[in-house]
Amino acid sequence: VSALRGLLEGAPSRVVTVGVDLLAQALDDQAVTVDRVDWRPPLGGDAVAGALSAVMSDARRDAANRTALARLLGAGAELVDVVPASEALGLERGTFLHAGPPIAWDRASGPLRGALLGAMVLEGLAASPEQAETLLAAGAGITLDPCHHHHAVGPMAGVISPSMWGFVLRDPVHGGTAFCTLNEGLGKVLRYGAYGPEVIERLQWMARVLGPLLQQAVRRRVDGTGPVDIRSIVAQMLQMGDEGHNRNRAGTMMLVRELVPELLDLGAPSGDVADVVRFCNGNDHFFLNLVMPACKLALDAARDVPGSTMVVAMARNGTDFGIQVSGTGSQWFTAPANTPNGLFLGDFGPDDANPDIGDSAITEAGGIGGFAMAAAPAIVRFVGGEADDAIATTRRMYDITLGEHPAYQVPVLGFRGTPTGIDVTAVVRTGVLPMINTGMAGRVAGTGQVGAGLVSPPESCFTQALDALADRAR
Amino acid sequence: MALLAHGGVGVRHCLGLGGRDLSAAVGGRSARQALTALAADAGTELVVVVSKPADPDVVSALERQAAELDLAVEWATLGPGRPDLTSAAERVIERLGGRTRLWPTWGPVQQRSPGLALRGLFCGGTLCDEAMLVAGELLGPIRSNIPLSPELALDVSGAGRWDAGSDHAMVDFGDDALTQGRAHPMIDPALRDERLAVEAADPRVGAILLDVVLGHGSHPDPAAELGPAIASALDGASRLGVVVSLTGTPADPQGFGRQAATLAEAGAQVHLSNAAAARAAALAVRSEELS
Repeated sequence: VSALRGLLEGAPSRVVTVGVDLLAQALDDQAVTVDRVDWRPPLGGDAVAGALSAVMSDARRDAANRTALARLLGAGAELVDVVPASEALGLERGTFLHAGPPIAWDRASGPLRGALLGAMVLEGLAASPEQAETLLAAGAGITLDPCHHHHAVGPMAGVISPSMWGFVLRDPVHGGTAFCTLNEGLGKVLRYGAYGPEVIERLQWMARVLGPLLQQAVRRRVDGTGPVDIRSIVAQMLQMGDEGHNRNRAGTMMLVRELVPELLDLGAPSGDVADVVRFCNGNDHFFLNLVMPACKLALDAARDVPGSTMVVAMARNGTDFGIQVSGTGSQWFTAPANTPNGLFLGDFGPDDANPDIGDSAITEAGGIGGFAMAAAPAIVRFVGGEADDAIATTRRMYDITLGEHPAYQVPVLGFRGTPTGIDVTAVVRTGVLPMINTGMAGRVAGTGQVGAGLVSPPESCFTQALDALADRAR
Repeated sequence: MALLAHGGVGVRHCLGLGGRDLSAAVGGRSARQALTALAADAGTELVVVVSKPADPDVVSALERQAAELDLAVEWATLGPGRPDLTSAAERVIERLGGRTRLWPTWGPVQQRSPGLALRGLFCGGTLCDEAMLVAGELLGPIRSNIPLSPELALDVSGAGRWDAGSDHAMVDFGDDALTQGRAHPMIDPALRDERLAVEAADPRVGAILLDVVLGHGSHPDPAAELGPAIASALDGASRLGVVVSLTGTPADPQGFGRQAATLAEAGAQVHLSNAAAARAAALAVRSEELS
């Protein structure tokens, strides 16, 4: 080896730089090729150094993360039934589940309040939204609880009340079960905080016609050829331009394709069957409510592995963003939710948007959604940006994930598995935050959807989680 | 390097060793590698080792290594009673067949204020060391955050609130204690420029010595900020002189001539030689005329 690795034998052909650009620029000015490495100090600065080293040197960490990741990647997801929440979850009248970490009425955001008002009316607990507001503010006889505490997930406000129908999914590998409501469509819908008469009427029709017909079709399918393999449809939709969070068009069509023969065979009134097929087909997000519980199953399977630094839930209630981590049990690490950046519907603008809301970030925790944006370049027409941004986003997420999904693949990246299993230590070390594709709800209760865009969790969810992991490190 | 360039000597390689390399604790680890590499470089005729005050045993070991490598070395290691860097540069230039004794200066002769205090506000630690050695011979003890001996220590930890009173003092703004959470003063001289105003307003201060170092990776136009700061420091101050040590060559991206002209037009006396600048600043406040 020559002295100083040949540095004196001529100008280096390439130089790698880190940190402030001034020095890289000085090399540029002298016609040296510079590879700038985007490195930043860890999130939280010097304060996290002790916690970071404690967690990184936890002897259990590698094996624990391998276990958690293997469960996440290996989980199956089959659609086995369609039932009301009262039946699936044992929900009592007066109990309402909601998206995100725990929250009470006094801190609830506009869209969550709007959805609760609508649900009160739907359940017959209030004659009007005004009366519902009074009752909810008083709180007597009302219980609010996160969907996540009941093996359930709900998009946007995520409100689940006993009479709402939903999908039951089962993980045949680990035996878990997950529940998610039926998707109402876009625009003025309950999950975006709208609660007008048309919203309630749609929910009543869903409970009267849509739910029961889907139940019969799904049960007929289970009895005939077996449950619908949702994991397989998710794998296919990524090959067809969906990312499973904000673009579910191909997934929806594939689900309809699976269920139409069963629906036709039920002997139900043809008008009802047509209405059901028209409703499902007409809502490009219908399949989101199957992707979410599929991811929930996989992440629930990965819970409670001591020493694991893998994120098992990311969820928002419209006020707070919360994450849960495999190695820290059911503890939430919360911070005020950010407001998404993106594109707005009609005359709405940034001032109309509520902070981030919904359990749908379960998709990103499961390695799809924003993490699989490269598979869905058309998504940028919905959330903003350029097609290259979608590819860059997916590539960046590999920096903070533990592995690649064997079934969920991105064609444009050479069928590389999607970045899966968010590692708290990687997020803190790199400062790269998970990228979430999301819808935007109106800030004011009753508004509905105002747009769609991209958002990241607050940094402190991850630094708090790191502290808790450090407390338990061995 | 800037002095050698002015003297017509080509500089083939410039290797940074690190400010503490020739200390007993570090033992010249970088210098050893550099000498080995330069010995293998056919185009190198002479090596100049420049250092802050060095450990004599480390220097001896390096001298033995250079002899074994058959490498011609000039030592420009600072220390009490040792030649300053300008003298070392003159020696190198003469050895390579050149000759220069006239180091360029720009700007007006400065106000003499015998008996008042000298302040040095430096970005470069080695330049600060050299200035303290040169000025110290003319003025006596100089306090500093990088003192030549421990009893001269000046505590500058209370951001901008230190006061050396009527003592002579020189501060290295590139020292670790003053670069926490901010860029090196060669890149961001804001802290030093603020201090210039504080010192200029102190009636006990008669001369201020500043350094400006040009080159790639340094501030893109230091005189644009320092010039007005100097002009405002001198404005209405009847007993103050400002001397600038300008390290640079015409090849530097900042425009060497323009930097010198801007600083001189602001009212400072500008020297290419740091030792000459330190001498000029010291003489401006020295009580008795040179014999």
